[in-house]
Amino acid sequence: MPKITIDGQEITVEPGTTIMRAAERLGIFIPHYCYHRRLSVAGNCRMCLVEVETWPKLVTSCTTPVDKDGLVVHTSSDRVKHSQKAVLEFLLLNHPLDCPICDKAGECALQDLYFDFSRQDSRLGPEEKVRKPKNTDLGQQIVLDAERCILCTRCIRFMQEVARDPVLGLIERGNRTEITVFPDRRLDSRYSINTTDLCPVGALTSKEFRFKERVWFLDHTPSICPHCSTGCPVILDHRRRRIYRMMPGTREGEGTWLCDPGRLGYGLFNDPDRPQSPLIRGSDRSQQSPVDWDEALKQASSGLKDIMVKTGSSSVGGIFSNWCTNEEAFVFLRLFKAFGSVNVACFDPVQGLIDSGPADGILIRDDKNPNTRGVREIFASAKGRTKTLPDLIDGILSRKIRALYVVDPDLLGRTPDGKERKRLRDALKKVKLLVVQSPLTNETSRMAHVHLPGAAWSEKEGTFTNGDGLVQRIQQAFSPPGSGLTDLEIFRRVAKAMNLKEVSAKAADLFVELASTVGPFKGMRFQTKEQTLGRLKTPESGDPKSQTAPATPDLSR
Amino acid sequence: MIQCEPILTKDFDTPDLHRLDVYRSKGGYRALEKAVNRMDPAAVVAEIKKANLRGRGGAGFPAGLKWSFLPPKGEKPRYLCVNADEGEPGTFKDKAILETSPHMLLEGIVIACHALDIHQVFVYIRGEFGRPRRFLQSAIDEAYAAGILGPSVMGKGFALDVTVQRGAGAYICGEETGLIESLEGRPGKPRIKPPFPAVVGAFGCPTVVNNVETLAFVPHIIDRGADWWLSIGSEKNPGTRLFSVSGNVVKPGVYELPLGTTIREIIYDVAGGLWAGRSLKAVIPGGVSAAVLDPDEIDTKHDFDSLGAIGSMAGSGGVIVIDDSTCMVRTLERILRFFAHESCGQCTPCREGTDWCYRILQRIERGQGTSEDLETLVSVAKNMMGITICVLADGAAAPIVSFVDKFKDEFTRHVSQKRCPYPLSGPPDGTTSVEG
Repeated sequence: MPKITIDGQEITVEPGTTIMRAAERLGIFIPHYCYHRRLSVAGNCRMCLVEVETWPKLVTSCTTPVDKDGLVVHTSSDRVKHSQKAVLEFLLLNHPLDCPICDKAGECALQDLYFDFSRQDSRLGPEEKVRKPKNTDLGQQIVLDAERCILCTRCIRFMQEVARDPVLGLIERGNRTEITVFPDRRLDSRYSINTTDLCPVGALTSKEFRFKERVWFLDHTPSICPHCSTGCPVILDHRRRRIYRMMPGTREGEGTWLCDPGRLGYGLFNDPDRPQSPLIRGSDRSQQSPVDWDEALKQASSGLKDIMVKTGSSSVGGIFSNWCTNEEAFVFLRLFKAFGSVNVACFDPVQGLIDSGPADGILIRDDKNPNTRGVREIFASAKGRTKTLPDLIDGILSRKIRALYVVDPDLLGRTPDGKERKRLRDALKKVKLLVVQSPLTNETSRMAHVHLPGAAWSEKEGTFTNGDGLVQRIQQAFSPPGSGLTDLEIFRRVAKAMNLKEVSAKAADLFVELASTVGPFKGMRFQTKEQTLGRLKTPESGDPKSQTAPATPDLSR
Repeated sequence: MIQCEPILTKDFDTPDLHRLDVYRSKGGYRALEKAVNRMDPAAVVAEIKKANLRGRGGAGFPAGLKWSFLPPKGEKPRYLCVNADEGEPGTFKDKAILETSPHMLLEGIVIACHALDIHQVFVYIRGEFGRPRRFLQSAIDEAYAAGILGPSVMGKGFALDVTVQRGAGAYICGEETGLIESLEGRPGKPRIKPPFPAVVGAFGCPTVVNNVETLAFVPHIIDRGADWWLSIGSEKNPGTRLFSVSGNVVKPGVYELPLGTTIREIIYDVAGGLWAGRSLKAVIPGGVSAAVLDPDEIDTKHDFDSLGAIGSMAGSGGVIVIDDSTCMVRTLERILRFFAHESCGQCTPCREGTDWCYRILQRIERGQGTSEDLETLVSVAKNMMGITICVLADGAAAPIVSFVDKFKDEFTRHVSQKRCPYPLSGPPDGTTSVEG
């Protein structure tokens, strides 16, 4: 294997490894625009030129494979620095420099590399800059500002190689060249917004984020996308308790792509109709009205206790869903154990809160929920102390179950329309006490006698288990709106109000307990520095649909 | 005067040479018969390699060596792409071959394919070449009918097809990988090398790309032997080539001369010298991508190595003669307008630099330039040299650097007088038009 030297550091690499990749491994940054780790090499921006001793010309490090022993590479010799300045001057020559109104400002590679590698004034004379269209609608989500474009072709390559929907290309020649969608085509792929992340400048922007917020005001919280069982790592970009965009995160140091529906799904938690406090149905049973937590918990716990006293513990039922975290599932089952009821069921439809369409073998899977596997495994571990959902509904309809505690953001909405939903609705109407714990306002929550406003996934800590059994952490970006609480805190308060044994509301503590009692989680540790805590030990058996997508996508490609 | 019998153009005056029967009557396809009947493929390659036939497209790379870069025949087919995208300004010699003796090209093609075990040829012809294309196509049709092309070449059971593909008007498609991209149906944007076309060429298969003129010489070398060929021309630059002579000379045209003929001989002995009353100011020796020469340099031999040694190049053999009535700023402005228009736009330095230089030159020519502009011009030109995928940017930078270096006072006069000091130039009164 060839051994080479880059800026005085030696490295041995596989033959064919490019200078760029070798430098990456050494932690040496070579400035670049068109190169992207997970796209094919274009070699057009000419920013990554380096000097190889004894070679007459500078070479692009992204295209030059190392196949000989003893190459001595310099990434910041005078010649290299000169060419970097020259290329930056060319890139900026006709650039509109409209940074004050450009959404990319603050995270723009043209800005950043200019400050790091150039800092020279423009030598453009009195001529006009080349003008191009500044607002071309390319598709449902994407707008092109052709003047800002540096023609690196990352977007073209992404659409071809990753999204498998090659609708982008170049037209014209020379400095009249522009990115375009092919005639009669639109950039309407379910992966289109990735092009805005890949765009090193502000040429491609998403309609979602365009002109909404300056990037330097945003806080960043790593999390997991909750909108299908792929569980892509994401970064929540937020400010003042509002998510402005969801960006691709990293897993094991490697970046990811995101699908547009998943990326935009946070919108439903920015809904102004979300409950700001607990709601209870008064004695006239007509309207829900806001109350404080003490009142709501009193109402719920006394109602539950009454029914338990009158008709026994097993007349209390619970429905818990695959939209909640592993820790919440763990505590909810413990709560029911303490109640002395086995009438607790797992609600795990493939339907989630948004519909990202059928599985495509890229990222999107059919199961639109973040934690189907985790909730199933935890329910499975409570051998014999749970029920199936149809049995539970039978129990309600036959009046054996008289109180119901539902933990799901949209129970009816996620149940397939028709007979099944009707039966569930009848059951919800039939119970004497319906407690719904949900961060959203919808048909189910409006039926509740007590609506406990839980948290969106971005407002709490915990873990999700994705379709491949990867256990991944979600982190709290900010608190739930109004007086809303995290679901674990609500469980803690419910337990207290019911005079049960104290339970922790800390995801970290609960995860430790979970990992020591639930088989497939055994041996995992809650590490605050890691987002992936481990992989379930048993092979998935239940969900054949998840097999249609590749396992956790190979992010190194 | 240069003593040498013409090779390619010997029978160019024969009427209807483009027809198969006439071409045959002049000894045409004799070399092909020799190659297929009496030489095995390796011997043909060896002969061309020995002859050191240097590519006539511009780079002067030895064709035999290029052929030998083909990897051993595997599962994939091999292709020959004939570069008939003659686009270098000042060059019009392939056009002459295509219109006058297309069978000579075809004979070279068939010999090359026999030598290299190639069964499919793509002739990529410049879109503007309507007439040359018609001549070539009818020669191809005749060759199919005569069994020179088709399922069994010369009855030997060797299948060979020749397909003509028209370009759509891009200079860059004369660059061999730009040509292949265009042939495959994509925009003509040159590829990163390596891999070279010999390894990964058209449609992912090993491909040889040769210029029209280069292939036209192949039958002659096979017919008369490499030793004969090596006796012509100058050292390491054997043979003759077709010079396209244009500009302010009395007899512009295509002339076949041995390599090593001096530029002075080309201008004065062959092309009839300059127009009466005019004196020589400059010569562009090898198409507009070549550095310009001043009159002191015209005793240089016109061959690949001699011109390379003085910082210019023999290029495509397009000799552009410039007399003292011509404005060098306007000439350079026109050249840069071409390059800015033809830059494919993929590499940053070329995309931005060619047009920037053009705009600076426009300004200087209009009398609006400053002395800083001159500095900027040369610095920008140097900044785009040697750092792009193909050599178009180098081809645009070379004239800038050499024009400003050798004719600096003309540029400074434009700046100081705030106008172009030259009236529009043309042939002097009484000179017959150079058109046609």
